[in-house]
Amino acid sequence: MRQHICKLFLLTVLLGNAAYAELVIQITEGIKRRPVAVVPFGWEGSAPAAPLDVAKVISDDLNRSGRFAPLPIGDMLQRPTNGADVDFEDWSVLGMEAVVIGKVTQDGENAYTVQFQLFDVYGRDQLVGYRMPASRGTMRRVAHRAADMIYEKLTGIKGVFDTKVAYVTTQARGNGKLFSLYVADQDGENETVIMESKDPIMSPAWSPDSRRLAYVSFEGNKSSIFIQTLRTGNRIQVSSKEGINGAPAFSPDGRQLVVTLGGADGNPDIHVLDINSRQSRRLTTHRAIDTEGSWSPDGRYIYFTSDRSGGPQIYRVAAGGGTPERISFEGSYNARPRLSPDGTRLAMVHLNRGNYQIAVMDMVDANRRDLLIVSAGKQDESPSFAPNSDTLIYATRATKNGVLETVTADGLIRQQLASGQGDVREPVWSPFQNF
Amino acid sequence: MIAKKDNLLPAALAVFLHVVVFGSLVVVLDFDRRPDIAMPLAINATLVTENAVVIPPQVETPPKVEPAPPEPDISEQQRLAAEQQKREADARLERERLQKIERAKTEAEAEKRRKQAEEQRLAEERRLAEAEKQRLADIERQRLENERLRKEAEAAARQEELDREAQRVAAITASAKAAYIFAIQQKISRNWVAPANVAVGLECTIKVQQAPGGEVLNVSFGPCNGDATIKRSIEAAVYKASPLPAPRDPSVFDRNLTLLFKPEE
Repeated sequence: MRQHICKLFLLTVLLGNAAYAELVIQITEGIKRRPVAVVPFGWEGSAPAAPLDVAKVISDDLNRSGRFAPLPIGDMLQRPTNGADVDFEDWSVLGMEAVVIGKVTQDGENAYTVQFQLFDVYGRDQLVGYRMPASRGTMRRVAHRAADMIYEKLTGIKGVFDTKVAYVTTQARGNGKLFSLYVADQDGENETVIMESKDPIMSPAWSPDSRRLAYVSFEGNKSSIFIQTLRTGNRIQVSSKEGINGAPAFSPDGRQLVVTLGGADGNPDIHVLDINSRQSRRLTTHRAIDTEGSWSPDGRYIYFTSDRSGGPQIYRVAAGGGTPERISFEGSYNARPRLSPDGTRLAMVHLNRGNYQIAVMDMVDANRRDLLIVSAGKQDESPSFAPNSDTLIYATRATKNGVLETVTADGLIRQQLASGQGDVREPVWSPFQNF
Repeated sequence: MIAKKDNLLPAALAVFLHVVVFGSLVVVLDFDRRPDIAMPLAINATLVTENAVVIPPQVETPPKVEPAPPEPDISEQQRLAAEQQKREADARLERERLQKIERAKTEAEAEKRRKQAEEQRLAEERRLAEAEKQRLADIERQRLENERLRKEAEAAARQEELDREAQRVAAITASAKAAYIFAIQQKISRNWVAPANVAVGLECTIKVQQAPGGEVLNVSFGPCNGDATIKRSIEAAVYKASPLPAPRDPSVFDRNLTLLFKPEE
């Protein structure tokens, strides 16, 4: 996973301060995982075991984050389920920084209480602890929420374990292909088909409330933009104009979409579409290709890809209209801009020495705009930020098929996700789930 | 237990003081008597009489009475009688003198034994006192040793806690530093156009001075096994990478960077 750093050449940077000697190691070995223990949860109920191994879900979440190294259960000297039974000395001996304990209690036929507590082994006190009601159906989400709270307490970064990812897969089916739009938990569990078609499905986009998905479907051999409500499966067609209807993205208030419309002349431009009225407003008029629009989180700008200067580069235009401003300058190919939810970073696909890779531009200082390449594939595509702005998901090619990877925005922790069937593409990370 | 130990010291001191006081009295008496032993013949009679009871009166064989030649002469007889009387007196004196010497000798002997016993007793007491002192010192030393070990263990535990706390803080801030180094490393590497003659094993150390804004001010070479072309390419990469990326956490910024180039494969 860390190999990409050394592949081209190893350049070690030693800062003047002597204390930085250890950082050199950190660079080549990746981020040091912090040791934590998630003790198997207690169970009080009629069945022999709890409906879900909550501790395992939490432990796997922390492990997958790349920032923690959960202690194997077999190495634990004690397995307390009550706070009073936690012997900090034992955990200290094992080098643990934090300990998670908890229990699941059955309150009714399908009513449970999940209780967890996070202890700081150094401070010898509780950092966070909650009791949450759950059913068999919601227990996994409750476990992810617990993991989110634990992660945030320990890292200062909001956890994204209780979020979802949408993506499109392509599989061979008979003589043709089967395109599927999936939604899954961010750990790959609960994979659910949202829509299937023998015609291509493209460009899924989450609504800000994460209840709906917009996407492009080529059913009927022409492109249309749909918005589908996940809970009910109901969908509405919001754009089916002549020519191209593509690349939808929701406005921060969820009332508008930025879309690419080709029009009769076949010249794709950026438009803003009001979802209720279906009225669209043209934002760009250049004869070059303008596409892949996305809103800035504050709603002021729309970032998009245009080849008006020759090759594809990132531009932005005021959401109300105006003269586009070029944003990317480094390299001959920069496309598919996506701002982080906190607005400080811009992810894009960047051509780096013949490889299409994911790059992150620092947007904090308009005079700097430092670019950092965070992926290491040959055909990486479709970067999408997690709602905490700390991690991105994108698709990369493994042999023939696309698979999903996540990477922290600083490029230091990269993980491959176990992904579904066939060729997986166009992952988009959901916003925080507030329901 | 502790109270007992605490009482031991005063008690021992009291005993020791008594021993010293009485011992010194004995020693003082001893000095007073020493002259008696040195002058056995100057003892006056009263003492002899009083002590005569102790001495068997007939220890010494009485002087033999010489058979007196018949002395018809009265004056001769008187003279003989006087002589006899004088002899007897002499013998008595002699006996008394011998008795006196013997008595003094015995007395000195007794005194010597008494003194030896006393000295032995004092030595024993001193030995006991010394042992007690030693025991108390041992206890104190052990206590200090335990205290020292306890303090050391506490300090070690405290240090361990500090170390781990520092590690934890380092782990939290390490990603900011690591991210900064990664970003610098990557920007320079992206700007490096490797000359055709780069060989495996190239290793160059360069020092880069940057302004607070990341602008490269100076590039100088440390140990480097590359030729002039390679050095120029590296130097160009650093200048092309200017301004160097800014860290997200400003505290991580450092004006002076040391870069180690080590191409792989």
